[in-house]
Amino acid sequence: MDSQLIIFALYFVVVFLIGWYSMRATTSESDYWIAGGKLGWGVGGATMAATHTSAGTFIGTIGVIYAVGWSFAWVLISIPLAYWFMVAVLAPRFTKVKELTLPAFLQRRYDSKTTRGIGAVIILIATVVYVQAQIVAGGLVANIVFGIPTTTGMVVFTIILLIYTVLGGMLAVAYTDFLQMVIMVLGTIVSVPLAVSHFGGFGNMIELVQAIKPLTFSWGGFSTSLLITMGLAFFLGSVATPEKVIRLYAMKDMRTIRKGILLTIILVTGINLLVFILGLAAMALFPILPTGDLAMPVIARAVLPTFIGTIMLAAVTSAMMSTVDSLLLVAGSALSEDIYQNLIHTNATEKRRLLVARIGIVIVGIIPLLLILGGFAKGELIQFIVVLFTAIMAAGFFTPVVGGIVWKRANKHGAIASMIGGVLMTGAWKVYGDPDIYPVLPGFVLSVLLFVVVSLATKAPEDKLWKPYFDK
Amino acid sequence: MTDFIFWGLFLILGLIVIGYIAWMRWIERKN
Repeated sequence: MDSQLIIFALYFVVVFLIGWYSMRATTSESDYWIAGGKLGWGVGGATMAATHTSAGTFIGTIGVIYAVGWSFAWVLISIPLAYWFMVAVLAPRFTKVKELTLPAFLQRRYDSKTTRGIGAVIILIATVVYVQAQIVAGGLVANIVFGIPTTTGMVVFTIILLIYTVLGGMLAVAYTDFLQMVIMVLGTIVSVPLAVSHFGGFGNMIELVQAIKPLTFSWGGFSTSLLITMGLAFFLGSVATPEKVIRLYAMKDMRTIRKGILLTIILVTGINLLVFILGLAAMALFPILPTGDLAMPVIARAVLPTFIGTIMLAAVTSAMMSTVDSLLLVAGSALSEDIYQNLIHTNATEKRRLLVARIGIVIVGIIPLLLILGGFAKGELIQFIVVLFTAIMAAGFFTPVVGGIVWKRANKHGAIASMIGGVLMTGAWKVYGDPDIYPVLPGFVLSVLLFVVVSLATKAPEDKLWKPYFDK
Repeated sequence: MTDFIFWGLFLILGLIVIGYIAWMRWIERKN
């Protein structure tokens, strides 16, 4: 217990120091929201990977492997392909004009404050609700590690996140993400050989898994249509969601982006594969867990030595924090930059804008906590949004963002229709549609249809709107 | 089948990474 406390305390001290130094280096809004557009490939690639890797990877994904077998692992192919697409197709044009937020891009490309406002509202609602689910998970980890009440854990977890994010903005988030990525890599690289050695070798583990659950290495464990549509959800969700694309603005130039994303691909793919193997180890050791979500905690506790188990739990905490801080930054920017500064108070000084930015993050950090403490966290609507977070963001943003830089004829009416239609269809499919098809597919198809049809049916945009992105 | 479903995934992911590196070097030479 004492060594666990010391490891976590050290970790938090370092995180605070990063927040403090980042605050001193932050002098403008551009520094605050996109790290001045000066990140190198190492920190840029690591922050992208850390944002991508959430507690879901360490708890949820391993749980699915545990429950349905290795066929689900093939979903992973969509992720490196998505990042490749992002660098090859989206980034070269998207970064020609650097903005501070994704909705700001929508406003410039479509010459429409409404488009920006709708984008900001989708981000705010989905993100704030999703963050509260992560805060609950943070409270549970604190409860397991320190034995403190879950509610106290949630408050402490939120305060720590808020302090460094509010102080240092994107710089603090990027550098803490880097540190958190190192912990995730360490945790998984050390844990997997230890878990496998428990069986006397990799071959033995595979044989044992096959004997216990024969369907593990077959295509029969998971519906093919669900596998393909989930792959599509992962693809769309990796390419054009606000917390990802904002990192393209934060990196220095295209050369940096290409190298950084190679690092992202290697880190995300590697960590996922290692976590999947831990899922197999859990299958062989504990074949009758009530839920797959327990696979990681039981491995950490029962198989790994205390010290390594603590690093693994720190890795889970890191995954959670590195995703939540990025989401807080995106939600904070939607509130203070896209809504307040853009629509309400347009002529603020730089100093005031920075203050408003920080207040925005405090607000979007406190709301999820209040939702939980007020007893709203288990509400049906809230659970609905949590489950659909990636699908909502993907169906809402992929088409207007990618479409805006590949199709000159795209206009604001098409963008607005596609965002609203995509999000509504995703939600409606979840309620009324075929459960073997992940809702992002119908949401995406409708958003593309509306984007094209409505753009063609209305007036073409002026050349000056698309030109900056298409010029060589 | 077991071999393919397990190792096949590693093979394909490896090929994607190699493909990305080759593409990256090609783009940088072109520029």
